[in-house]
Amino acid sequence: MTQRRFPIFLLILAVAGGGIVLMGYWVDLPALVAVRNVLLRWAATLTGVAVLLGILNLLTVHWLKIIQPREGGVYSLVMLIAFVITFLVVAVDTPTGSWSVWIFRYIQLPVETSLLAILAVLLVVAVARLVVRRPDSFTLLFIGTAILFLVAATYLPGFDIPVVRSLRDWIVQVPVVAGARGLLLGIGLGVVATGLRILLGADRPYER
Amino acid sequence: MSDEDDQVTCAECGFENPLEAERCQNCGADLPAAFAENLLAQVPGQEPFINKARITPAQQVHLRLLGEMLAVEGQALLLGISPRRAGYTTLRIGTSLVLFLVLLFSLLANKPVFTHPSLTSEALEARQLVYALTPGAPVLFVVDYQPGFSGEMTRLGQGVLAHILAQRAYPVFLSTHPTGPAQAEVFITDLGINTGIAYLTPDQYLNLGYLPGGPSGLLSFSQAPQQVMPLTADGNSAWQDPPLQTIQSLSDFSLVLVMTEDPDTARTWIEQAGPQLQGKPLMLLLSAQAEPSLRPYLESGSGQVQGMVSGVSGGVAYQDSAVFTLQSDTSGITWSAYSLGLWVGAILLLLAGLYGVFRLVREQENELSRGDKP
Amino acid sequence: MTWSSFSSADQVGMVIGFLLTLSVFSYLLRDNVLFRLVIHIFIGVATAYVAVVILYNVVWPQLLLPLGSGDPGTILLVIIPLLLSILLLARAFPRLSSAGSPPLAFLVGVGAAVAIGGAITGTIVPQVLAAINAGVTQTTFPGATRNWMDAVNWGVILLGTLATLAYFHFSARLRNPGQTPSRAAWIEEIAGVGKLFIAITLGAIFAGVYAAAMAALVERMDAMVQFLQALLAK
Repeated sequence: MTQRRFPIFLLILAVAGGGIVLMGYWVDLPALVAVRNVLLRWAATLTGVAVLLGILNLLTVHWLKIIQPREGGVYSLVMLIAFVITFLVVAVDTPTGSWSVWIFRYIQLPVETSLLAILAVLLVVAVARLVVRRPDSFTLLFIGTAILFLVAATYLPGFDIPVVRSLRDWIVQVPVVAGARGLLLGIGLGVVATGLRILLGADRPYER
Repeated sequence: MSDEDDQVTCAECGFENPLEAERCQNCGADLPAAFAENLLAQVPGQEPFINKARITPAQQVHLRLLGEMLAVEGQALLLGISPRRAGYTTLRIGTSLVLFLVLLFSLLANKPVFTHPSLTSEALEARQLVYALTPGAPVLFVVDYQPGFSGEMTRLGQGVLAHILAQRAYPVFLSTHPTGPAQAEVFITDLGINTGIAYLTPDQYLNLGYLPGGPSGLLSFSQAPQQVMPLTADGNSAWQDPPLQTIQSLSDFSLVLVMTEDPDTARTWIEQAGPQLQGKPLMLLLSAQAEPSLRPYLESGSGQVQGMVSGVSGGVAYQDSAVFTLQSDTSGITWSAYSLGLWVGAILLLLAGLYGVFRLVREQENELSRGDKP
Repeated sequence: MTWSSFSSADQVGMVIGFLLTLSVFSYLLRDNVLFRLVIHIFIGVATAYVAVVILYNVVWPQLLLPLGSGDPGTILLVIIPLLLSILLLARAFPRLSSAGSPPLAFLVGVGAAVAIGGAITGTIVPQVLAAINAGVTQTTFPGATRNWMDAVNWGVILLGTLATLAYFHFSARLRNPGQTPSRAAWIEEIAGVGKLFIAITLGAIFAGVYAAAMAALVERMDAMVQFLQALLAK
């Protein structure tokens, strides 16, 4: 395929595939629905394969760090050893086998949960620094809402003030719904704009 | 207070300005004010909610600062993060000590100080949906949260899952996360430990495993589940036993329940799977961080979401309200420790806010007195 | 529970989990070798698990198993994604990376279409209708009957929604030479109100993020306390 025709071929592939899928949201023809379902299944499968590609890439990066001695090569070696052992165990035992679940429960879960746990500290520190450096009205409103929600989520006997809880309930059902709805609509409009740019050929990320 | 890392780069000329500057000191261009929105941009699940096109220079500084502190996924943490400044380190260690000591004291003291919350109206609706399940009714139980959120999500969801099993409905686990299969096994095994019952596949539940493709996969599964997921998580045939033989589309499930910490994941389920339900209920079990962002779907009046239980408080309230009890019920103690942790966070933020306002007032007074001097 | 009530595998696992937790918490003091080692082990374990799951749940049932079905139609329908998958994997090799462009183009096109369709039918239309209809059909405050409070709440929600949208409005024009482009003054005013609503919404979200992180912290500390108590009670 010539250099000029290849990009056009890619564009046709993207637009045709996307066009058939998009039409299926509003047009209910059996033939269209059948083709659409096939395309969706292919896309789902390819996305899974793309994740494998990402993993391959990660392994290559770390392998290169080992064979071309660079800083952090020891860590890469540790990572690859952990990968190989886990891969063998889970592949033989199946993803829901007892040993696979053991690895998940006693290695992956503690590490991931601990990483989120330290966020509790880091969040308080980050927001404290933000409000000390820049106590403008918006930051104070942000932090005031956060404090109200944290206090209203708990039920300390003797300190339960109904008006605090009522205020929190009103905020979550009115201003928060308003802000969140605006955010959702903003995201939705952004998604439509970006998607249309792709389907109209104005944006072609697959050529990079 | 100047800090070499907290400077704003002018988009026009590249000059490094102090964070508080409103105009570039070199070329006079506007430097838009920072805003706390990017505080959350680094937190898992919140990225889609922060419109990155609005990042201003000062927000870039905050992103860098927060990226150093808030990254929780392994890759980000490997990027040479090393908090250097003594003041920041002291604050971080001090905050850590306060939180750790308070929680340790609460866990060791073993006294349930805080009372349990009551069910919200949306959680009541959720409970009614589960009560409406008949024996053998297939329930799609979507386990779509990152493993790091297991603590919260287990406390949130185990009461609901126990209720579903008490109704003798048939949960079918599915996940759009690759860790979902193991996550579901751990979830139901831990429930077994807490109820003293060993739940067995395929007699009492099924684990379909990982559904790839994000929105595309979801839409595809909604229309043809048996074709898209023909096998279970460990490679066995999935659909040959009742009550799953009659499942031809998502609407053949009696209830679809999505458990997630990510607003974007929940939004994808609502957008792609919701229209395929054809009136069957969609319930959300949400992390506390996702609930505010998704409230509009619950309150849309169009029936997009029919019930919602959120956070540890939602899970504790649900567990208290249902007719069953879990055998090892430590929710009293852990609930108190959790509540105490929230209070400590609120107090620390309040102190920081008061200090910030005090500093601002003092700086303004100093400026005024400098202006008054001859 | 006592130490002896756990199986050997669980005992070993609990020791490993305890040590891993301590190693991650050590980051709060400073970045250190132990923390980095643990993170690399975690990355290796996590990616290996993901790789196997994809082989079990995607590659085998969708690409390989159907090849042995004997049905020509089924085989034909699987050969195309199989070929596309092989082309996609070619992107791992710089010289062959352009071969991966067709499957990528297909993925991007379908992904964009699904995103557009979902956004319009699942979010934009229902949420716009909800913003309009809330004042007519829905009680927005629990326990309240249809009264002036409902009208106020509806007005606040509608105003807040529009103001938040205005905040994300990007069309800036060069108003005067020498100044940076800016939005019309009336849009700036409304966007300022939108910023208030966003501040409140993000404050609520932040409280939720902190609550989720606190749940994780309590779970980890509870696990460590129970581990030590079981060890001491053996």
